[in-house]
Amino acid sequence: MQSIILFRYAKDHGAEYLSHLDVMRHLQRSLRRAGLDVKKSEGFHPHPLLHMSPPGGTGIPSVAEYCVVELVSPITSGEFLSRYNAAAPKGLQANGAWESATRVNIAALITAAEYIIEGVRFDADSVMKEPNFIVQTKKGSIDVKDRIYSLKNTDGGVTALIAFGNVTLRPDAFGEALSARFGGEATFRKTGVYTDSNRRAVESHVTK
Amino acid sequence: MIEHAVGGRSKFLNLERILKTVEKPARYTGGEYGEPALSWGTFNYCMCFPDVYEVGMSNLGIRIVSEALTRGGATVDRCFTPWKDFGDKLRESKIPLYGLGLQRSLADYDMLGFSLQYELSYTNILYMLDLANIPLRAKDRGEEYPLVQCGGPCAVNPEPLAEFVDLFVIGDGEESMQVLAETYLSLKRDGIFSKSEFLYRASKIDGVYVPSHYKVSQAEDGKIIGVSPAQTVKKALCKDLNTAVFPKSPIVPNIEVVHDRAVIEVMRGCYRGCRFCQAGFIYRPVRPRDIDTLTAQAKALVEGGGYDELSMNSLSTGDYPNLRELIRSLKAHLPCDTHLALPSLRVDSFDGEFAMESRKSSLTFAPEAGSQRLRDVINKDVTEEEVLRTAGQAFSLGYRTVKLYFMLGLPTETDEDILAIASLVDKIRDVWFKTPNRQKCALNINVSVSTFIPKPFTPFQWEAQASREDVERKQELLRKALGKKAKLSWNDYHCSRLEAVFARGDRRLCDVLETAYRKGCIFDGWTDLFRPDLWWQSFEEHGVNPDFYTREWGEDEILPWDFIDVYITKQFLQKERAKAYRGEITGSCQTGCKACGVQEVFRCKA
Repeated sequence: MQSIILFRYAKDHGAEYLSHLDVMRHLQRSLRRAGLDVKKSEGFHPHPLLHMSPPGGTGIPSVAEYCVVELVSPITSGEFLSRYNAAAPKGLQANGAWESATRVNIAALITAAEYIIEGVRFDADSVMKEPNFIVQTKKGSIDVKDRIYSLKNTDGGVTALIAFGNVTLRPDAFGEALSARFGGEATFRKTGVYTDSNRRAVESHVTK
Repeated sequence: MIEHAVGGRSKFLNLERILKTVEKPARYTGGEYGEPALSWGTFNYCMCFPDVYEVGMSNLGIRIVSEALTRGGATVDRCFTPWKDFGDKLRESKIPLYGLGLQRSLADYDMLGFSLQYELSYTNILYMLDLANIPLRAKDRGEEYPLVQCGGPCAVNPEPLAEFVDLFVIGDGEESMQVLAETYLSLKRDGIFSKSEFLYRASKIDGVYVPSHYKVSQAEDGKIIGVSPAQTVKKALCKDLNTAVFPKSPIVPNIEVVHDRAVIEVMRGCYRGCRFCQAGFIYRPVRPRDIDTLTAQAKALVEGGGYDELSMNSLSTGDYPNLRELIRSLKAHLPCDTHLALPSLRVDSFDGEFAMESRKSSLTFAPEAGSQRLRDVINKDVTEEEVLRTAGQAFSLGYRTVKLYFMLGLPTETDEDILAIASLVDKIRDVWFKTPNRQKCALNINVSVSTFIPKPFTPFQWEAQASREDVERKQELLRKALGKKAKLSWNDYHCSRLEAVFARGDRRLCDVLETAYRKGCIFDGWTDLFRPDLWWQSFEEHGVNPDFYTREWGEDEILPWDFIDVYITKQFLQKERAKAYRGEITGSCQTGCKACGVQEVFRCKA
C-alpha cells in the first residue's frame, strides 16, 4: 500500500539562498536519509515522484513551502514528520504533514502568497485604494494592481497577500517599486501560501 | 547548508544584501548538512580551496586532511574562492573573505591551508589572501597574521610559491597533518609558540618543507647552481590506508557540485607507470584499501548523505585486485538502488558486467597516443585490438557515444602518429557498422587532444614542450584528417604553456605570479577569465623568459624540485626515459617489481 503525504516546510537559516532545484535535491536526499522510499516514475530515466509548490524568490525566508510526495509504503503524517525532520537540514524543517488519498496538484492550486514586508514604510490602505500599481519588469512597466489582494499595516511592517503561482507578482519587483516610491529597502518574509485570495489553506485540499 | 544562519546572525554588515545580488549565493553561506559544529579554539585552521565551491566541495583530499587535523586537535573551517561577482562585492562592502563555518575573516585564523590541485589555480591563492587583507609574501606577515601552508599534488614542486608560503606538506596528509596540529598545540600549551619556533619543529615532520630555511642560488641564465642546506625533504607516506583517518560522515553541499555523489578512494597509486603521468609516480606505492574498510566507508557516506550514487575513485579502478568482490560487497550492503560509478576504468578492464552498472550511454577511452609505436614510447599498454573489442561490446550493449582522449606534442611524435588518431576513429566507425544489434541512431565520436606537459617526477621531466607552431600545425593536420567523422576539441596553447612553465617553475616565478595577479589574473583555469596577454606581459616585466621552462632540460642540471624525495629515484626515471626513446614498454607493477625506488621503503603487494 502506497501513501501520499502533503507536507509544509520552512526555508530559512541560509536555505532561502538555495535555488528551487537545489531545494528539490535536498528534499530527495533528506527523504533517503530518513529511509522513506519515494515512488519513482516509470520510463528510461525514472525520477522520484515529488511535487513542489511554485518557486519563490532566492533570498526570501519562508515558513510555508509545500511538497507532495508519493511513498512506497504507508505512513502516518505524524511518523512522517518526525522521521523527515530528523534527517532534514536545519533550514528545511517541516512544520506540518497531512495524508491524502489522492495526489494534491499543488502547482495548479496555489494562487496566493502572504509576505511580511519590512524596511519600507507606507500607508497600506491608501495604496490599496489607488486604481493602479506600476512595477518595472524586463518587459517594461506593467500595472499589477489586480495581483495585490490585500495590504495591511502591522507592527513594524506590512502584511501583503499577493498573486503567486501561474500568475505571480514577483516580490523583488514589488519591493523595488515600493522602495522607489517610499524610500528604504523592502525585505520580504513569506508567511503563508494559499489556494485563493480568501486564504484557503493548501492542506484543505487533501482527500480522505 | 544551514546549521548557521547567515541571515540575521552574521557579524558582517550587508552580507545578506550582497548575497541577494550574486550568482549561486549558497556557495557563500556555509551551514551544509553534516557540517560539524565548530567553535573557536587554540589552533584554528581554515582549509582554503583555490577554486569555486562546486570544485572544492567535490574534493575528497581536503576532507581527509580536515579529518586528520581535527583528530590532532585543530578547529577546521573551510573557504573556497569566491567567484568574481562576490569577490568584487566583498571589496566594495569592505567585508573580508571569511571561513564558512565560523564566519570569521581569514586573517583571524592561525593557519590557512591551500590545496594545490593544478598549477593554474595559483593566482587564486593570492586573490584569497588579498580579499582578507593578508600580506601576500611570507616575510611580510608578522606573528599577528596566519601561517600559510600548502599541500596537494602540485606541492611536489613547491618553488613557484616559495615566497608566499610558510610551509608545504608534501605527500599523504593522513598522518602528517595530524602531527602538524599536535606540534602547533604543544608549543601553545608550553607557552613557547612563535612562528619561527613552530616552523623549526614542523620541519622535522616527514613531508614538511619550509622554504625560508633554504637558499637557492641561480646563475645569470636561471640555471640552479646550488641549494643549501643539502637536506632533502621526504614526502609523507601513509603506509596503511585501512587504519588511516577518513571522513566518517559526509558534508552534503548546498548546491549541485561537480561530483555530486558519495566518493570512496578504493586505492591510492597506480601500477601502470605511464611515462607522462605525474600522479602515476608521485602517489606510489599502490595501496588498495580492504573490501571491509571500503564497504564500511561507503555505507557511512551513502546512508549519511542520502546519496543515490557512489563513485569508486582511484587512478585506475579496474586494477583494484578484487574488483568483482568489492562490487558484490557494496551491492550487498548499500541501498539496492545505489548506482555504482567507476571512473578511470582502463580499456582492458572494461567488460559487459561493469558496463551494465552504468546508466551512461557514453564510453570513454584514453589511448593518449594514436599509434602503437607512440603508445609504447609512453608506456601506455593499450592496444588497438582492445579498444576495438571493447567498443564492439559496448555498442551491442546500447552505447552510442565514444570519447577518445589523446595527447599531442609527446616525445618522438611524428605526423604519422597524429594521422593514426584519425585511422583509429575510422576503425571504431567500422566496428559500429559491423555490430548488428547497435542502436538505431548515429554514432558520435568525440576526440579530445590536450597538449603534452612535461611534469616533475616523471620520466619525461626533462622533455621540451612542443612549440606553438608545432602544436598548431599538428592540430590542423588532425582537424583535416578527421573531417566530419568526429568532433574535435583541443586545449588552448597559452593555457598549456603557462601550466608547463609553473609545473617546472622555480622561485623566480613568484614575482611573475604576483605581478600577474596585480594585473587582474584570477581563475586562470577558466577559459573565459584566462588572460594570456597579462601573463606574458608579467614575464617580460621581470625579465623571465617562459621558454627557459619549456625547453629540454639537461639530465645533469639541478632541477628546482630535486631536493624533494618522493621515493622514485632519478636513475629509474632516466632509465625509463631511455626506454621510451627505444620504444620499449615497462608494463605494470603487477607483472613484477620495476625497482622505481619505492620498494626501499614499502613492500608492494602487486
